[in-house]
Amino acid sequence: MKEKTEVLQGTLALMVLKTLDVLGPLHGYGISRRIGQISGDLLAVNQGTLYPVLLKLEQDGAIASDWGVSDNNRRARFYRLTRAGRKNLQAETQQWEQTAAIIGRFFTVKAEDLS
Amino acid sequence: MNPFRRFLSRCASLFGRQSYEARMREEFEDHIERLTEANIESGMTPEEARRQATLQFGPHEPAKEAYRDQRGLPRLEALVSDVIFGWRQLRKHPAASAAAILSLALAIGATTAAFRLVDAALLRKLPIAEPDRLSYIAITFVDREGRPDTRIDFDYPTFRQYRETVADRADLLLVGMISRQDVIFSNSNETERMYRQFVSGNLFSVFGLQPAIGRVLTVEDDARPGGHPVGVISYDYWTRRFGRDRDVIGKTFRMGSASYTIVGVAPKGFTGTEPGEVSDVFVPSMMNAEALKSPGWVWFRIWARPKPGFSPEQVRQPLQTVFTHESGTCKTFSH
Repeated sequence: MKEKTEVLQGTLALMVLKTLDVLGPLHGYGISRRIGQISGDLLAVNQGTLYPVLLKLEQDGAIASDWGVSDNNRRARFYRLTRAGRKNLQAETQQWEQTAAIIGRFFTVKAEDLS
Repeated sequence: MNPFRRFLSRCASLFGRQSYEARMREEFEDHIERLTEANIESGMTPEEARRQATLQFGPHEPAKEAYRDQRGLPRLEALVSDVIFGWRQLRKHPAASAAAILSLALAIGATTAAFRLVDAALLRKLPIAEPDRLSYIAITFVDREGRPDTRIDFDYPTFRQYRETVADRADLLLVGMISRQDVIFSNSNETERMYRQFVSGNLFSVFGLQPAIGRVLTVEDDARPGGHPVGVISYDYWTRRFGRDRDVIGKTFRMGSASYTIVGVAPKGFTGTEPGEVSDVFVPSMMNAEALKSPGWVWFRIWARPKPGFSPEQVRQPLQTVFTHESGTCKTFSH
């Protein structure tokens, strides 16, 4: 069995934003499944913890939500990215990539490279 | 993001509490439902699928708690639950609660009463005609150490000069300082204390005050030095000392070297001219005979009410001229 990784709240929010950016409006279950698929079930996320994150994003104005009808005609709360959320996502993506690149460099650098 | 917007949204959710709870429950159930279906599709029995779904979703309470913390204003909500808790405690112990509430009510009542007193004594306007048109005369000057100073007490020669100077523009009132006097009423041998205030004869008419009984002081009561041993007592003093006996008119009392006759009672509510101080008896300024001729003996303040059509400034200007003329004298009095 693969070892699961703890996920940081901020990271989860970023994953939500990106998911909505790629797939468009989606209900909580859909977002959760998508995150599971992409991460290859590596993330140890109790799916319930997604909802506080969604609410926070909504209060921040990054996403908005409405009741809608999903496949097989069921009522569900649909979340969508707002314009502010999209901007936010761009900024955070950039920041994330930068951080990842820096950390990456620390891991790849060898002793002789520094001499 | 925008803190104000978040605040608004949280406020909104505070009031929409019910709908948020419902939304949360519905979303959670829907989520688990879908998980269960997915699990069934992957070959689990319905019971197993449901069990797994519940596990995958994780414990509800922490999620709910986090969700609740996220929406609403936690502090305010804590306050609400405190209030609810407090109310339940009160209901549980009615006797103790009643006692506590009663003592609170009494304390509040006492405070209110005290405030009403202070309000009446210190904050209300004088219960007289046109209080807004009254001014008092103050002289600002520089003292010997070079600091600016103000004096508002005057001697009688100065008052007479000022009064003549602005006679056509304003009524000037002599408002004596209140002082405690020993008096003896004619039908008693006991010395009593009375707060006496010298006033000029025009004070009551300028103030527009009518007597409660008897009459008030008039200009005629204030014409000859030492010649008018009459007094008007305050309504409060009348109540306190005489129980509002109407026979008080004509009673005499000895104060200093003169025997005064009570000619009237001032109207209810008029306790004197000074906030926070009360006068028991008003007597004509002419009765302070010795002081009348003494420059430098300061014993009263001067109030002014401009005559119709004149502004305080128009009263001040001629006084300024007089004052500049003899400013040297004035300065020596100040210390």
